[in-house]
Amino acid sequence: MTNQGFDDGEWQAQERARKAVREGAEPSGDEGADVAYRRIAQALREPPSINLPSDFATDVAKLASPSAASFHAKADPELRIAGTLAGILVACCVVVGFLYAGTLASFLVSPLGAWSFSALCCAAAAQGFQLLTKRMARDFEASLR
Amino acid sequence: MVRNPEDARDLCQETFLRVFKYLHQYRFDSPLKSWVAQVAYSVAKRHLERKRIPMADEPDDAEAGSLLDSVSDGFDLEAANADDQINRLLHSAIDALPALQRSLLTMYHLDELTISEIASITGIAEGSVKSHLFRSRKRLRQWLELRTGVIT
Repeated sequence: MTNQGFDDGEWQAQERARKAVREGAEPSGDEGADVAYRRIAQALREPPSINLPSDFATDVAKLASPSAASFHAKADPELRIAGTLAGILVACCVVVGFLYAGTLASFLVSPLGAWSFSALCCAAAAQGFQLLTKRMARDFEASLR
Repeated sequence: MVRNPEDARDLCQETFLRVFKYLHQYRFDSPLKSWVAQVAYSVAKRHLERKRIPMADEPDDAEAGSLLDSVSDGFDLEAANADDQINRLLHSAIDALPALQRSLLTMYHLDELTISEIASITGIAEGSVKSHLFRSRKRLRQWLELRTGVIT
């Protein structure tokens, strides 16, 4: 669109009228061309009648609920995969433990092994604590809704 | 943007559902109000395109004459002196404006959005928004003067 026919003076008159209506200023009587624009600005400030039914919000909420359920359903497979991977990891650890039990035991009693084992336990505990707090926060948010 | 109240209700519902569904895509780079307005605008625009309803008039027929044709002829000049009668007719004239002009005027006057906010919601250049606003208001003024005699 071009600015063909754009009159800056008239634009200013339109803007003056809009500002006057917005600020609720009384007409001064010497507004000239602004009178018509003021009337137009006043009409444009009146909101159109919206005849939404009283149960509109309930209907929208009902429609939104399946969307929310499908969102959680999409999230569920991710949790299942994470759980499966964790299970495989634990199984691998058990197998390795059985196979190298002797070597592992002698390593654990050594100073370096004891320190490594403690560090590993601390890391696992921290990770577990983080997961637990996240879960609790999510449950708390859900209970507020 | 949409004149049919039934359609407006359906589109309003669709807008709320879309906002709910895609809220996680909101990046906080603009006010939430503008983001929701953007969703509503695109929903309404798609509806108009589907129904083949033009968003805006051709640039050269944007004069008061076409508004005169659109607004009902049952006009009593004497009675028009009453403010409410003029207001009612003015609202009819606003309703008769093309969807785009009507939406821009509503966003600017009623929702008090800035021209740059309107431009980002509609995807129209700021200069064009300004030009649309100017022409629509001028058109309404010409219409008003034709209907009620010279006011100024």
